[in-house]
Order: sequence, then structure tokens, then C-alpha cells
Amino acid sequence: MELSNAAELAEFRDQARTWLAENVPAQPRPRTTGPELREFDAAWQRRQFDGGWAGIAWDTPYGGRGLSPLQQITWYEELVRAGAPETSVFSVALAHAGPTLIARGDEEQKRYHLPRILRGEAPWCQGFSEPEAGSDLANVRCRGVVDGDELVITGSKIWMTNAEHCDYCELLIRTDPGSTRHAGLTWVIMDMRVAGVGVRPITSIDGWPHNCQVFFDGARVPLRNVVGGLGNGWSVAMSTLAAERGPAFVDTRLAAVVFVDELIDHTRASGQLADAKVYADLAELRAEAAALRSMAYYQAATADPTAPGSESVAVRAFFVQVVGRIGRTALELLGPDVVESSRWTRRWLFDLSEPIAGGTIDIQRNIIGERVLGLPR
Amino acid sequence: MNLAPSEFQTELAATARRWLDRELPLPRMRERAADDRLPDDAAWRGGADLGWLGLGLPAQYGGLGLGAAEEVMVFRELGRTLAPGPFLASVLGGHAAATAGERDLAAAIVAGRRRVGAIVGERVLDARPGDLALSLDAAGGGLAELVETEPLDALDPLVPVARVVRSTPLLRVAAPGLLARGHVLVAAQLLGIIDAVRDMSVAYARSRTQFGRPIGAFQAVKHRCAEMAVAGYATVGQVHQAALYVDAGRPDAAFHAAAAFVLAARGAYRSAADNIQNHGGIGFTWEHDAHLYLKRASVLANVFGPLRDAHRPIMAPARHEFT
Repeated sequence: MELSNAAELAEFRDQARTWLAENVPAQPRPRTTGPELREFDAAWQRRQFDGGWAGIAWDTPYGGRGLSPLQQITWYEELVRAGAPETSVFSVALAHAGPTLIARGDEEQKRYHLPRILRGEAPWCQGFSEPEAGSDLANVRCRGVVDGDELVITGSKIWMTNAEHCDYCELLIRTDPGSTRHAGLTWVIMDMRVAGVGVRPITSIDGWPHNCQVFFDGARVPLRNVVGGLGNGWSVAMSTLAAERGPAFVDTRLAAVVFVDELIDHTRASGQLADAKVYADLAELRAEAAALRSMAYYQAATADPTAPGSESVAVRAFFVQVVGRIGRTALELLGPDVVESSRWTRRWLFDLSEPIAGGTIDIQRNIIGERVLGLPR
Repeated sequence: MNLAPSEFQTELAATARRWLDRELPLPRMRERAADDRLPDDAAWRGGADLGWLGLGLPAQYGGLGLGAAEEVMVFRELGRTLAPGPFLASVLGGHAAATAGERDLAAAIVAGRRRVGAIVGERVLDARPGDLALSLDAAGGGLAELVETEPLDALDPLVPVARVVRSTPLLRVAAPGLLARGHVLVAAQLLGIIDAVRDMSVAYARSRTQFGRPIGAFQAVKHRCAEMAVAGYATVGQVHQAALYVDAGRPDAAFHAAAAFVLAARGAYRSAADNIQNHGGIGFTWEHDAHLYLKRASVLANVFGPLRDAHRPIMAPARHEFT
């Protein structure tokens, strides 16, 4: 335990803050499903790259800055405080496709894809879940058949966020036709623009098409796009999930800290903070939000970055519960204003996806119970 | 900011754990609680000889010149083992005496010659006439000498409670940082309770069989155990961070220390109650230790006044500063 590197980080933070003050997009993200959305996100990502603020902890040969995880956290802190867009069609690429390639990809895959992600050229989506493989991810049925130096993909994937905007997909398929469960799976870099890929957006409870179902009908992908070798897909997918549940979404968790501060400002301005229960609820929320930040630092200091461990599941499990409490508190503060769809109601509704996405909270608790605590299945 | 304990800090905790397991084991403490003062004078001085009462005080007071970052490592073990004795108020009392410039008094506390109980309203915890008593609030702390007390029926059989009949005020210091340190140390103790009940529940859930399966295979039980692990993991980083902020004298130390305290208190309450539930009928017996963890958590969560008082330092800053 030490604060020792505080001075060095303070300089980095000042630079980040100065740059963000001048460069955060003045316009909000367009509320559209059209190509303007990707254009907006790509321009913002490119601007971060050009400013030297993309891939802060990624290695320099792949377009990153090669700095420490602590500097990455510092950047995220300044990013959310500056009111930068909270999400983007590049989120999956930055948060877990990139980290998966860094951990498991070959040199050619890393050199081709990582810089394209950082420059805002190629957004990715995630193709893991299927209609019959939700929490039970090992039940994957979407299949890939080797044909010469290609895989031919047939089947369907679902809950693919932003798939209609994406060029690539982290696709998990069954390549050994006789296999079941975790064996015989393959993680492949799927080009979403080839023939035989059909995308159907799905409208979510907040009225927005966050996710898609994607149909593969004989779509072809070169074998060189396989990550980690044919049949090793489960292990590669675990690297993806470890990133997704753990260090990847530090910015999202820090955004919750900022949101709680906004809630407190809002209730102070509206006079509701005088209510003892409101005051107590917000104080407890602010304590939990503070924990989201200290967990990020604790995880950065204690977790083995080459083998993301089970603690990342605990981070995720805590986060989704805090988000749930924030949403319920916000709803109560909203009162009758809830009848009108607003930024607050949209956020509350969207946040109901948090304990479902990336493996439900129930499955996360099973994983903690079985793999961390050693309880029987 | 590096929140991982150093090798030295880890070793400090390991040493504390070994010593506490050997000198103040819970089964023996339970047997002796009705008749003896716990820990006895030899054991109390043994803890003092290890430096525990002055870890964060300079050498001129007999301290080791370390900080809250080291104190939390020991306090987590005190919580985990449910060690009896006024460690919390004595450590804070040493800081109060040192802040007041009362060198001899501080040294006497640090050396284990004077014990300091905690004032909770009209009551005092873990102290008898002749001992000192610490009162703590957001502005600072005060030490008094207890002259006459009237024993009360205690909630926690290992934490004696008495009504203060007469006491002599000794000193009062304006030290806003003292409550922050208190919050961090109690948070560490409560974190140790979360650790202990998680381990106790897991061990039972693996061995206890019903319907032909270990009960840990049932999702309801498994999930309660998992939430204990989550509560601990959500608290440890905040405790370590707050300890560093207290040591650095940062203006937001009070906020982060109170946040650590609230997180730890909520986590310990729920985990200790869930631990009783996981044990079923046996968990409801006096004989089983499960109730002791819940009772200690309740005492610790209210040792500085109502838990909700900690909301004020949390809400004081205009925003949570990321610096």
C-alpha cells in the first residue's frame, strides 16, 4: 500500500484533463440508428488516438501508449468527469476484443486489428450467446465447417450489441461436429461484411435497438482468423469474459460515481436532500460508488494481468447490484415525473440489462461460489 | 496509488493472526469470559510488545513510526479472530494523548500499562474503574479516567459494557482526523468479520449434507456465500485506500474512511446474519460461534455513535474527487 507514484500520475492527469477540456465532442451522441452513429463514434475515437489517448495500456507496436494500468484508470477518471460519451460502437473492440487478441492472438492478428481498433476504423461486436445458449454458454450450436483454408459458418447468434454497425465479430462456434459442451469450440475473427451474414436489430425495453440477432448462412471466414487454434475456443472465450467482467469496463463503473454525484446535486437543488431517508440512501450509494473506484485500483494492484482471475467476477457482481440500487433510488427521486420518458427513465431501464448481460448475476454468483470458494456444483 | 499490501504489511498480518490464534483463541476466550478480564494483563502486554498499540505513533511515544496502512492489517486480524480487548479505543486513545502532547500518557497506553475503553453514550465498553475512556466525535476526542462504573448486561459476551457513574476528564483534543482513523480501523475489523463468516459458511456448506447433497450445492446457500466474498472484495480496496489517505492527511480522508466504514458495516451485518441462516438450527444456538460475529459487528458498527452519523462525512464533499 502506497501513494508513492502520485506526482507522476498527477502530471498525467493534468495533461488528460487539459486535452479533454478542449476535445470532448460538444454535441451529444446522435440518437439515431443510422450511419451517423458510427461516424460520430469513429471521429471521437480517432481524435483520442491522434491526441495520444487511445490504448493507453496497450503495447506501442500495436498503436498503444505502453503505459501502466494505473494511467489507464486515471484517463478513465478524467474521461467520465469531462462528460465524454459514455459508450460507443467501439466499446466491445476496446474493452474485450482487443484484450482477447492481446492475450491470445497471433502476431499477424494483433498487428492488423489492434491499430484499426484504436484508430476508430473497425468496430467489433460479440457473437457468443445463442437463442439456446444464454447463461449456458457451452451449449453453442452455431457451427463452422472447415473447407480448404476457410470455415463455413451456419447458425445464429443473439444479443449482439451494435452488430449492425460493426465490421468484425468475436464469434464462438462449434467446429468439431461430434463435440459437446466446452470441447470442440473455436473463437474466430468474423468479418461481418461478407455474404451470408444477416443482421436483425432487436428493440430493447427502453425502445432502443441496442442488440441484434445475426444469422449466418454459409458465411466464409479464412482459417487464419482463428484465435488460439481450432477447438480451443472455450479457453479463448474465458479470456474475453475475464476482460469483460473485470478491468475492461472501469470507465462504466467510474461513470456510476459521477452519476451518484449528479443525483446528489439534483436532490440538493430540488430540496429533496432534506428528507432523512433520501440523505441516507444517497450517502450509502456514494460509499458504494467509492468502492467501485477503489476496487479498480485494488484489482490493478493485485490481479495477475496475464491470467485474469475470479476476482473480476466479484467486481462485476458488486457493480450490477450498485447499479440496481442507483436505479431504484433515482426512480424514487423522480416521483411522478416518471410518467415522461426522459434521460433518467432511459438510464434506469437500460440499467436493468446490467445483471443480465455478460452472464446473469445468478451465474456470476455460481461462479464465485464454485470457482472462488470451492463449493460443490 | 498501489492498494496491494507490501510484503512487510502481509507479514505483519500473518504474525498477528498466528499470535491471536495462539494467545486469544475464541474457544478459550468464551470459557473465560464470565470470570476473567480479557485479555489478561500478560496477553495485553504481549500485544503491546508486538507494537500493536503504537503502530502509527512516532518512537517518542513508544510507537513504531508506521501508519494507518499497517494498523488496518492488524485490525483486520483482530476482527477475524474476534479478539477480546479494547484494542480500538486504546490505539485511538494513544493517538489522542500524543496529539495533546501528553507524552507519558501516550507512552503508558502504547506500552499496555493503561487500557482505554470506548465511550458509547452513557456507557463504556471494555473498561473498569482505573482505566481510561475515549470519547470520539467529528471534532476530535477526549480521554477521561473512570472512577466508578456499574456493570450492565452486555450484548456481546466478549465485550463487557458498564454505565459510567463517575469519571475524571483528563484531556480533550481538537483532531478531526481522529474519527477518520477510527472509521478506517473499525472498517478493517469489520472486514475481518466478513472474512471469518465467509470461511465459516463455506466450510459448513461443503460438509453439511441434506437431501443427499452438500448444502453448498444449493443455489440459495451458494449465493449467500458468494455475496460474502463480494462484500469482502468490495470493502478491502476502500479500507486500504482510506488508510493511505488518513496517513497522507488528505482533506478527503474523512469521506473515504467513512465510506469504508459504512461498506464494511453493511457487509458485516449482512454476512454475519446470512452465516447464521446458512447454519440453520445450529446457527441459532448459543453454543455455536455464529452469533458472536453478528454481535461484534453490531457493537463495532455503533461504537462511534449511530452508523448513520457516518453519512455526514460521506455527503460533505461537493463531489467525489478523483485525485
